[in-house]
Amino acid sequence: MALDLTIAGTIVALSIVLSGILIGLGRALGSHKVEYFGREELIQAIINAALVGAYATITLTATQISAEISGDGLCTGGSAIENLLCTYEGVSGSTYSLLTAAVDLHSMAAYYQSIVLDFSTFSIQPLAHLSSVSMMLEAQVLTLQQLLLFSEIHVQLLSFFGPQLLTFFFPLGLVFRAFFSTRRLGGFLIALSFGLYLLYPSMVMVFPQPDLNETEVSLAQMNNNTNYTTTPILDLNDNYAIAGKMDNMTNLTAGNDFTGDLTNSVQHLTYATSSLAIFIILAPLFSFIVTLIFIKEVTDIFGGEFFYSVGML
Amino acid sequence: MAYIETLLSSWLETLKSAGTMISMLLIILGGLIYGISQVQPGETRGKWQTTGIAIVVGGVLIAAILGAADLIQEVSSNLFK
Repeated sequence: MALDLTIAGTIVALSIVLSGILIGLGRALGSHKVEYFGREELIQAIINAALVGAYATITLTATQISAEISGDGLCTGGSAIENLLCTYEGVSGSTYSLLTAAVDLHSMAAYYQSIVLDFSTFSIQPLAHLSSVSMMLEAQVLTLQQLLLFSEIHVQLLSFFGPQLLTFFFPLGLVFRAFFSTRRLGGFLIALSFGLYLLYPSMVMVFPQPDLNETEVSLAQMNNNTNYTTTPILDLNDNYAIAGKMDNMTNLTAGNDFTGDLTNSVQHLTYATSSLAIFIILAPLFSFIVTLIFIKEVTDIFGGEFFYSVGML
Repeated sequence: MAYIETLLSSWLETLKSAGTMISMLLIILGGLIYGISQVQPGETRGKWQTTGIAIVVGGVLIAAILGAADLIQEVSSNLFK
């Protein structure tokens, strides 16, 4: 949604006329407060007119600066915020793939952990010790789901704000800045639009993007290993066959080490989850704090008085 | 948006005509007060004259800024281009 700047121009003209009346009345009535308020309004109206007149130039410059800011990944074509959106869409896709692989792995571990073999004289649960691994994998799955949620929220917010910052929020800020009663709000909106358009994506791109290739390959190898595939339910009646399969799964001579491979996969998953957590939670949080401080500082510049702090009459 | 634009334009025109009237009123009033000051006793004449001049100057300032409002806006909008 783009905002027309004709309104801002009309409000600027209104401010100039109002300031003239206030200066004249203040001088006529001998009221310094009214006169100074009028002078401040005239100065602000001149600055507003300059900003409105330079809107196209400012927008073009900001777009060009933004295009220079790009990360190290595959998304380098558009503005900084478009590149960030592209990056987070990729991260969401990778996180989802990782989540499905982790669910499969958890299903496998939980399945084998729960198998009880009943023989004539005794019963045994050979892989009962995998219960802790199963709990770890369950926690990993829940964590990945939360990370996917945050990543998707980020994608949606970037999709909403990205196209609107310079076409809606910046002009809206100029309109509000022209009124003395909404000057601070206008300054805030101007600072918000530039902070989110330039500073926020730059700060996020400083952080290393998660490299999930190794983890995805490791999990795929584990999930697709024919030695570890789960026995069809109909064949579960044959205890000896299941026992033989489970023996084969831990046959180091044949190169099968189910527990070892499972532990290896959990380690890969932990590495991937930690790098995702840094990029999806820590990086935006840090960047948001830096951007907030920037917005606060620039709001004071754009939204405050310059010479005469008289506030409302 | 068109309604807001129309509303603001009407306020601008109202303010311009109000400003013109206020300006003329102040100039006339200032002149009157300055004229009355001439018949005041010596101890109060200065005060009346100052007041009269201040009111005239106020009226002139309003007229000047109102007259130059469009020019100020045009020049200001080209400052950072």
